[in-house]
Amino acid sequence: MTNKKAEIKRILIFVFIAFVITWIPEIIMTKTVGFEEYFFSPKYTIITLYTMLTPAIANVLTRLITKEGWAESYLHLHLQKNVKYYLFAAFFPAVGSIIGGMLVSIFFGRLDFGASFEEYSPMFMVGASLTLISAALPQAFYCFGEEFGWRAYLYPKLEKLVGVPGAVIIGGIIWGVWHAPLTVVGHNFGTDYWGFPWLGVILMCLFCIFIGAVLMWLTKKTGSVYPAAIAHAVNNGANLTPLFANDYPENTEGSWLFMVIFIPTFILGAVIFILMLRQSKKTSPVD
Amino acid sequence: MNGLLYKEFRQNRFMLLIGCGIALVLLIMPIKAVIDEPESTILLYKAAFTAAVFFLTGAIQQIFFQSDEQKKWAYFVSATPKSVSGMLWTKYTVVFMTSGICFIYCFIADCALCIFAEDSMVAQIAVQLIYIQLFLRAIEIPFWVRFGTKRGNMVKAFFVLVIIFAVILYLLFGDLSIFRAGLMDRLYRMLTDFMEGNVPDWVFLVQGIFPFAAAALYYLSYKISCRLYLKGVEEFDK
Repeated sequence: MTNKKAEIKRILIFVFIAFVITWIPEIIMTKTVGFEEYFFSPKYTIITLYTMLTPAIANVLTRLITKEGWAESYLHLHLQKNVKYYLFAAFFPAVGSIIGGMLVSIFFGRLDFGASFEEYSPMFMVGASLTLISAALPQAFYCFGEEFGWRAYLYPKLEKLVGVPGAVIIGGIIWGVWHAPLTVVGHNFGTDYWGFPWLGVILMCLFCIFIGAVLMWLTKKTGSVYPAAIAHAVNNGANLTPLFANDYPENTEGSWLFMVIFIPTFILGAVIFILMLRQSKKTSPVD
Repeated sequence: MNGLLYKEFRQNRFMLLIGCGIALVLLIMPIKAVIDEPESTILLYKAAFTAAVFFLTGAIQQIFFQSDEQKKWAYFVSATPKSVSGMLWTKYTVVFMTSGICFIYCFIADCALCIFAEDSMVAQIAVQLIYIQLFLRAIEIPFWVRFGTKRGNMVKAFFVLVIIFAVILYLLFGDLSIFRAGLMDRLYRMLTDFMEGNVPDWVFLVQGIFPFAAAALYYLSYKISCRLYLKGVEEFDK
């Protein structure tokens, strides 16, 4: 079997395992106990923790099944020479959510940031923001479960087959569709928006494409999966948007809110995508 | 660094396994009481379990330094390309990793125990404990490096005794009006206010800055240890 065929086979096995071992418990739980109870009750946290580790499990199983070995596992820290990337990973999602919150106030509320700051003092906002970030950082361990699958396995394989653009777009779509069982029951955007639930799945794929570009760049630059895990954890756990966007109508559609909040992420993802594209053209062999 | 990292875990594998075993016993031992009366016991049990596992982790972290207290090893490693700084970087990384593993263990145990009683997650306490543990290790490790773990703990105990002596002096001769009636009530109210967020804004700022200050102090501690290590080698017995 040629290298290309072998790689395609590995990708298909990985995607199949990742989807099956995630979708089955998620669909069962959302159908039996309902999304709200499943996702927010402490009783089922152990199951949501398991679903976040499934891409890592798929990575391990695929390597064992295909006897691929453990080369390019991206498990080394490489911390000493890459501190700036680790710091970037720890802070850019939080900064992005702050800017996103301000944009929500601009688009949907009043152009009056003084109103946003009336409720909380600057000391409280700085302290609360730093507390949320520091509390999110240790939770990188279960985001490692996702990143060890997507960024440490799928994206590098896709890049070898279809280059940087293909890896970012196809990888983002796969990752976005992987979230579908939760997206279609209200995760991220709620259930009350135009185009529910399929617009939600499309928006999720869009988000995964752009944020995936940033996480892929972090992984490539450091040769390590941990910065991506840290960035993912801070993105999930340190959402500072409510602190800075408390001035918009309550009935604002979830899909529109999402689009505005993630403008900074979209811009950053696009810039990084272009940088990676330029870098790959410089390093590719001359015809 | 990979070789040194592997060496740390392989050299201390028995103590690590014993530590894991003790942590498992701590989790399982009172489980029958929790299953029988989950609502009344689970919160206290989770908090006690989390604190006990962090204390255990602190003891294990000392072993990483204690096991290499040999002049032969110190002079050998200082002659390698990684040198003392690389070796100490590995030790600090391993200490950090064990804190992380401890948190993961507490988090998973907390999630699993929530199946018995749908109580709030105590894992948030474990998050703060990681940074407190980093802060404490940042202070302790230079003492271990300079004086060896045995003498380093004695020096640390000496400073703690000095602080206790100062407190006793204050209790004997100082202003005791703060200990007026109702002290425990006031302390309890302060604690519940803190848990509910009814505190001055500067408390939030300090709470937010502390983890990053602990991380910066941990790195500074590494730099100090690099300077002190070869002086401390003379304190080793063999």
